Amino acid sequence: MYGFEAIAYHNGWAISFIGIMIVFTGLLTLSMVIRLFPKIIAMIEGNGEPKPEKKQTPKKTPSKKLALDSNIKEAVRQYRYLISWMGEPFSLPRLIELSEKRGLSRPYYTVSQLLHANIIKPDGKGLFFWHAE
Amino acid sequence: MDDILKLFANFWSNTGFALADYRYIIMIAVGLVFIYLGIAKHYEPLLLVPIGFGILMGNIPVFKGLGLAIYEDNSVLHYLYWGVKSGVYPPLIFLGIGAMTDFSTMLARPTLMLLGAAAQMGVFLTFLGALFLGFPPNEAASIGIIGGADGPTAIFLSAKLAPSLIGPIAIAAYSYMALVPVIQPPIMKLLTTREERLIKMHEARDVSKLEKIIFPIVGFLLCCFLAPAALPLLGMLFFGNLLKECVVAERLAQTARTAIIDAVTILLGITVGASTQGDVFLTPSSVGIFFLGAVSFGIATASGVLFAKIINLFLKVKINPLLGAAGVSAVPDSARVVQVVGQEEDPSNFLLMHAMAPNVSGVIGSAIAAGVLWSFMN
Repeated sequence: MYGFEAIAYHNGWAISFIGIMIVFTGLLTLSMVIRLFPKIIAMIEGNGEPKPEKKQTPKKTPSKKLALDSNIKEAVRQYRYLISWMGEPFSLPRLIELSEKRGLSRPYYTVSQLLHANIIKPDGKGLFFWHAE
Repeated sequence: MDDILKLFANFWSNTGFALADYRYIIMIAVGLVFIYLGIAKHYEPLLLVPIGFGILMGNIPVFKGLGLAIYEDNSVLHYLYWGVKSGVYPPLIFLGIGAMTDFSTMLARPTLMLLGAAAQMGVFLTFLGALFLGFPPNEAASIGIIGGADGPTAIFLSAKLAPSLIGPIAIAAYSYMALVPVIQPPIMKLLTTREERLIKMHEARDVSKLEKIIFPIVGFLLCCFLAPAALPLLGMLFFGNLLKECVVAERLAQTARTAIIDAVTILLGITVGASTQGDVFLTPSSVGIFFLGAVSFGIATASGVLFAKIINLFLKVKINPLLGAAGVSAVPDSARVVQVVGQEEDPSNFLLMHAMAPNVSGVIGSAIAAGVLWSFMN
């Protein structure tokens, strides 16, 4: 059996519609629950008020300098070693791929921090180089 | 002298040179292309190199009855293939994926999870397409899941619903996953304007450690209560992530994201590749599966991008619609493609970490879709 007749015979329209609805419902519900996490955690911790979220402002310039906490300083050391092994200029996806392979924690977040802090800079041709002293 | 010639002729008749036919040669060429793409082009080398070599192993013409080929009982490859047929390998891969995935971008911006759901439309529309072409429902469901761009999920569902199609479905799924950088950009550019591609994403909030620990437990309970058939995949995914985030089980997390996933990837790659034995694999239905797989992948990408544009109609602060393409769960390749396409327009636009949110939610979405299809077919 072929064509729309086959779809109707095997209840394909209903299965597809309900299937899409279930996937959407699942992820929508999960996203709504996740949205509540900060409030729930604040309640568990006892102060009843969620921690104020970081103000969400558009990135104005990638050259913005951020203060580096001690974790990032350690990450700088690890990534400096990794990049010197890779050679410069390097591609960002390759850096993340290698850092994942080496089990470095939160590579996307860390690389983002390094970019914001101007430690990794674009060379204007799609690749990047190490800029920190 | 006659005896020597007879022995030699007998030996020759059992060699691959005498037993080969054109189908084995075609598949060996395919295997060599996979190996080339993996090594020279760096397209998913951890998958394409084992699968490519597996294709070579599976297409050495062997004398039937010696217990050498993957489809012969008692052959070594047959025993290794058990992990694929029984659906054991995919959940173990999900364990490793969970142990190496950082869900913090998704937790910081849960709205982007909907893009992961939208991309699953490709699964169900391809299911309809496969029914339209005359595939029975169980096979149509297994073909549709290729659009989820999730190799382990595609193998898992095929093992449960259409074991005879595991080879072509797995090869199609992994081929299209590897070709994400080739398939997705034209669709993304076609469906977005330059202005849309230039949209910069706002900095996400910081996510606390406690949120990251609570997420895998809540996510597991919620998703598996909704779609219990996704339990083997999502259970292992969220368990792996809990091991990673809880810190106290770091040793187990380390094993899951290195030794376990690497060992299983080798076994899965080699055996899936070997299952493409020319005389079994090269059939009209395999060609149909490859065609539908490409359609499925394209629809999934387009659905994600278009849904992001629809969401933008209701948002004050717009999101970059390219992120929708990362809703297919090829982690992290489709997120990388979003980054590359975004940077082609503006080198200072960094979308990678934002694209990881729909990317990882796509993994959850495709596992739920697989669970739903499995439960409907039973």
